[in-house]
Amino acid sequence: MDTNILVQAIISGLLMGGIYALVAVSLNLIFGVMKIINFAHGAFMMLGMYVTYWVSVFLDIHPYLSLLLSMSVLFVVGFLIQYGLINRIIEAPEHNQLLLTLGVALFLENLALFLWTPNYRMIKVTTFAGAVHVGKVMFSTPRMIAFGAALTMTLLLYLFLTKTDSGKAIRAISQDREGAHVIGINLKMIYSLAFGIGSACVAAAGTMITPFFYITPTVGLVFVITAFVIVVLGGLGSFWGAFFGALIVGVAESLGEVLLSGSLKQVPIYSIFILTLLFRPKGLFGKRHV
Amino acid sequence: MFKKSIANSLFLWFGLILIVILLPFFLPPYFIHVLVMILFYAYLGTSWNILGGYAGQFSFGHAAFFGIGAYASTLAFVNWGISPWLGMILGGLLGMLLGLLIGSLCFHYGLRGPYFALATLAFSELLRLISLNLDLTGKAMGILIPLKGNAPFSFQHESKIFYYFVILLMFIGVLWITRCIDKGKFGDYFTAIREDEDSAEAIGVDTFAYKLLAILISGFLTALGGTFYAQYFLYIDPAITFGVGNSIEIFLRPIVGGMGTVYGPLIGASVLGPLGEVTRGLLGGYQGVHLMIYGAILVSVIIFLPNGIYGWLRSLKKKHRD
Amino acid sequence: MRFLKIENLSKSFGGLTAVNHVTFQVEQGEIMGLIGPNGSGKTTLFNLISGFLAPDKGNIYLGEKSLVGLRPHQICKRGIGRTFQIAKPFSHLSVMRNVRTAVFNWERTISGANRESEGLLKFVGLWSKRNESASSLTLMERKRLELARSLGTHPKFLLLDEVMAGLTPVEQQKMIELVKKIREGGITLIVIEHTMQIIMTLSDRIVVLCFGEIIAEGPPQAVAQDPNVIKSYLGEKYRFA
Repeated sequence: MDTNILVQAIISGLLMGGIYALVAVSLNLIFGVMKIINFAHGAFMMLGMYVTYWVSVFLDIHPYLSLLLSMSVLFVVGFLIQYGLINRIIEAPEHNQLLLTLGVALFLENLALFLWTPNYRMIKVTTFAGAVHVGKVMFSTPRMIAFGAALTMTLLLYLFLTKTDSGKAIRAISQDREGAHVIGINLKMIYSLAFGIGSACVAAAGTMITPFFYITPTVGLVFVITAFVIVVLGGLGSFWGAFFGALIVGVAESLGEVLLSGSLKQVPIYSIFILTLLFRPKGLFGKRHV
Repeated sequence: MFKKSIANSLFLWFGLILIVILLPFFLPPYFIHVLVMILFYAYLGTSWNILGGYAGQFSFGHAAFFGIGAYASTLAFVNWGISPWLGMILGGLLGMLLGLLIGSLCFHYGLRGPYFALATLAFSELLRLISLNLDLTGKAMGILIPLKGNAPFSFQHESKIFYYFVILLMFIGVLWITRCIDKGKFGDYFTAIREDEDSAEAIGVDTFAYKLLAILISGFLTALGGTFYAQYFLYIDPAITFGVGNSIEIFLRPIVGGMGTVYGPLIGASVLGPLGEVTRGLLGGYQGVHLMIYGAILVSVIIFLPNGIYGWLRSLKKKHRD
Repeated sequence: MRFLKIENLSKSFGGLTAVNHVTFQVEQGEIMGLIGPNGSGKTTLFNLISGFLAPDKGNIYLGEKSLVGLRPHQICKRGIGRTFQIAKPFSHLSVMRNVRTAVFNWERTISGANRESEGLLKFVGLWSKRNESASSLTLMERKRLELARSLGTHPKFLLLDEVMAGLTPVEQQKMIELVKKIREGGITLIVIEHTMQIIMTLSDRIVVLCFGEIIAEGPPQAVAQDPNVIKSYLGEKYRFA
């Protein structure tokens, strides 16, 4: 096996891992705060990609320029869904909330399929395209930019959670819901805020990958399942667990793609998932008792 | 007075049975198909309900059992000429073995609630990926079952009425099993486990053994449904059988109709079936457009009717009595 | 003779020692009171005995046989029943079926199980509610149901965890009568309670836990006057009988 291919695979894996990190970290935010397993997370990413696609096509601009728009749209969507729907069943058993988000995902994905057909779409970019070559290894420019953007956003999210009042309120709730309620934190608003932020982040991830990833209504499903694997692997509730778990999974997937054939690349991921659930449900860095 | 009401209800039952038996002979094939699909998903939902509704272990991966049943009987038929009826039993046994594998692993390590659900999803996805890459299962192309015309012993017929009666009998069988569970010792045990595993253990219920039993039964029955599907549509592939969409369609009926009840899945299937057909008819477009409506219904049911339609009807009856 | 022997039992969670080298024996037919300040390890001890937790060190003997390593349902079948601090009936089952679930340990047939459940429900005074949903019961009724359920498993030893909590004084009196009736039926009881008056009334013998260790053991009057016991309760609002 050519070491160059392996190195290339690891690099690609890390770059994609950065994207997974943003997706996972934002999923973790929602899970850590509301204990909701958000199946609609992938659908939101998909919507972010479509917002970017249509804006790019109609206004003939570079997809990166639609970043703020896609984030804003999905922030509102996420906020409203939490505020209007999920808030009503906060007290219900966990699997009801899972089913609710699943229902939302089903609705959104199939609405997209109905409106925009299952046809794969791609955005052709001319600026910020191409690749950088270091020796025999290729660093695709759009992937690097996506990686950088994802990393930046992850960092911003981290700073938000640790330095701002709202962020601290969110973390307070995730650690002790009743205590936070007692000291006057408006749970429902914070939940909606957290859901909105999580959705905006995953929309950003979607926007950043449009130059090199196909766009289709079902694209979210793969991402959301991978995100769950990552969050469980990293440890539910752990920010950095999700981050490093994402890099690990990105590399594992990439190596799987090279060493196994085509779609089998996901086999190692699902296997890791099952093994983690069975033997170390707390994950690598988990703080929460499962 | 007393005898009259018994006579009345016997008459009603007789009438109902007569209608159920004679109906398909007077309907055009499309409507028979709709009935078959309602009964089919009612069957699958009722099978799922044993594990998910009664024993309280929500499975997100029942497509795994479905697919194993479908591929087992199909491969046995296509490669070795074994009648799908026998293949169905074989598939059922494999489904049971799969249930044993998944159940022993998950329950031994104490996976509950959403974690168990996600684990079952992972298992069904693994099976989908394997069948997608195996020559034996035809990879992405799937397997076409050769047309045998009117061949009831090969589980095939040109008329849909044949399939109607097969699935009707299967459904009645599964309904009867569920009724026995609902009223008897298993019902007590499963409900206890579902509500409070610790309390159940404290009063002597071997929760591991009974959860395992639930998944064995559910897996077996669901696998049989897979064979039926294969023989009805005469084509299977990894996505149709092992796909997440299939798992969702399976548990959607019990949730909408009422989990942990005998008739919940039937009610759910009776509502979602026609609704799906009407939606597809009105909106045309692609095959899965009804899922959009299903998603909306799922959200509504979770918020407004958390006990499903059956639970809602029962609470109405209670309010009416008071 | 049947006895329950706890030998050198220890359990820690992370850095916190919940139960520390606890040794005592419960003789058949007695009511043993288990008291101690909050966090002294009483419920942990119950969890260890009934198999919900595995001890780090020590052993638990029922007669000659060790119970360590057995799962809770196995320990139940050996004859040790327990109730939980917060009584949680199976709300989707009727009162009758709640009890029946426990009775199926010993009865094979549905009719036999129904008969046995009838007897138990009458014993605890819930027969009139037998077809009600368990979720519609008052607190006192739930506790009666929990007792009936535990009794359905034919325990020789019954661990009662704060069965008086939340009851009015009148209800507490009734519960005391019920507990005494249970003992008269030949069942040995270990009772965790917070109210000293009740413990003094009920118990033949009292064991006092503090920070996971036994600091006193003996008849109620002796324990009430034990200086160590008084010291450990300083600052808590307890009134001695």
